[in-house]
Amino acid sequence: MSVAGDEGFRDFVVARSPHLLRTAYLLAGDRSSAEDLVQSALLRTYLAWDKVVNADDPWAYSLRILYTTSSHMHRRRRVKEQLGPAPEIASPEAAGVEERDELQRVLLDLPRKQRAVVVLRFYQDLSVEKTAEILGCSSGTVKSQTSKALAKLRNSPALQERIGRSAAK
Amino acid sequence: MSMDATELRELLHERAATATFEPLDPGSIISLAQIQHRRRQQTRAGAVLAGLVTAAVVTVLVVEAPKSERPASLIPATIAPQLTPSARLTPTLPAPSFAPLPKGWIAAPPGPLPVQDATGTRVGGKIVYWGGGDNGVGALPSYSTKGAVFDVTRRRWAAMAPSPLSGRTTMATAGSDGVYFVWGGYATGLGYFDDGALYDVVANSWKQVAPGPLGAQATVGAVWTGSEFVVVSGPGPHSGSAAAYNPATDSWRRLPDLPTTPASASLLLVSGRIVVFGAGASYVLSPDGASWSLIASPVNIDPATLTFASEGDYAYAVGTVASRPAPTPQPLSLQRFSFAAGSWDVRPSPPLPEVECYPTLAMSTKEVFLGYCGGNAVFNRAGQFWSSTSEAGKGRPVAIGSELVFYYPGADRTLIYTGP
Repeated sequence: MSVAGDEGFRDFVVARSPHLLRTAYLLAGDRSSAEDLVQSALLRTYLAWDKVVNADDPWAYSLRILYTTSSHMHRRRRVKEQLGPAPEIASPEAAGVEERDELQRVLLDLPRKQRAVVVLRFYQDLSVEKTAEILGCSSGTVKSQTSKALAKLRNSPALQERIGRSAAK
Repeated sequence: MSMDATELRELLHERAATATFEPLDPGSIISLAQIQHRRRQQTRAGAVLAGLVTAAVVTVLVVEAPKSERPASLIPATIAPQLTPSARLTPTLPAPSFAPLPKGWIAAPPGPLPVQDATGTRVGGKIVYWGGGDNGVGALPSYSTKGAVFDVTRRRWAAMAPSPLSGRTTMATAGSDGVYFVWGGYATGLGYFDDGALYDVVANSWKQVAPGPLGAQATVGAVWTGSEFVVVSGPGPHSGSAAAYNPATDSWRRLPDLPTTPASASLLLVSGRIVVFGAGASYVLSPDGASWSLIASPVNIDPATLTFASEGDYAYAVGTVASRPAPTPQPLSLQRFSFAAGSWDVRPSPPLPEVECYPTLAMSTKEVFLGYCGGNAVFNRAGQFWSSTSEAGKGRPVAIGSELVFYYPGADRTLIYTGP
């Protein structure tokens, strides 16, 4: 890679890595796994930097790499992940701790693609089409996975309680 | 009670905000990416040594000969007196118990190395693992100066005498009948090295080699020609420069520079000829060593994933197909080269799922092994068909004769694939 390419990558990491880390945090469930995931994804992003900067949407491309890296890490640690990583416990002072942990538990219970759909559509605020492009599937698949994921999230008692409290305010 | 999109967005943003993340250090990521890239190139270089089948037979005969008939050292006598006094080979470790393996796999004792990234190099009937670094992330990696030798015939490990070289990774290595050659390499904080050493697997001793003409820069790899170790430089101020080291005289001679240094280059032996294969351009060195000539390169493979291996009269290349638009995962393409054909021909595609990954390739006399993100398959060279195998995992293969040895650094495991 050229020096200019390195500089572009450096700027990208400084500007976007916190956002990638938060996205990975939702996908992976805990801080350590999120950092591992983003580190691995950025290594691959660097090696494919020419493709990233020449892509129509470099940010979407980097999310794509994050997702595929997550898939690889999932395969390698399938047994561990099937047991389920312990959700990170936020400080007791933080409001809504239980609901957030419950959300993380419900997210981790979702199949990986459904989890990714939820994170990309409702955290990243991406369109169905852009989500489909990142996940390498059809728009119809994104819609169906979204529907299934939302149904499961709605069935979470703790999340229902949280939403009920919000509605009562 | 139901959940709408706005509520879900709020919950996700709240959840994401429970952890504070600082920007990662781009410098360390770039360093790690460059190291990983070089490691992959080095893995390919290790597979090159599968081409020395005839030499392996000779070495096995030497090692198996009565002790009184064995040479004290396989390094020529002219430089043998300069060798470091040898240490006794350490006793091999007892064999652990393994889960039952499917047909075609043999479990061997675990290796004694603590290193996680030692590169395996075939030296006659043995495989030398030396050097390498840990996979430290976010800090300077630490590098090992230790090594171990796996005797494929006896299925035994032995530790190597201390090396005179400092720890490094991505060095160029090659093996003759009984001598391991290491040149160059890289260590974070120290940069590229321009020194090297010979290790005598019989005497268990090291000797530093004379200073070379290539300078401190990346290397494509090294091969043993039967009388010299040839080294070709990779990207750097003198990219494509080449030289040959003669262990009998402890001297170097310059070879002509490559016309260009192709991406994903690998230095190989095909039909006994020295070849540099790469993306878009490949070269063969003339028998008199006077010039490089352009030969065919694999077609329609993404240069970033292009990987080579050779054995005997054939070389194989594998990589992801370059035609489809990124970032869609690409299918793999397997291609074969021989001087008789003069070109690369496409062989049956590997039966592995499409993922974004870097393939690993090794060739035994019977098969081509492909590792691809934990998925593995073997290609029968005689029958030209693929079959899958699940045992190899992430082990690094080194071909020796008809077998493939998989060492699992840090996992206390050594497996040998003998084929169906």
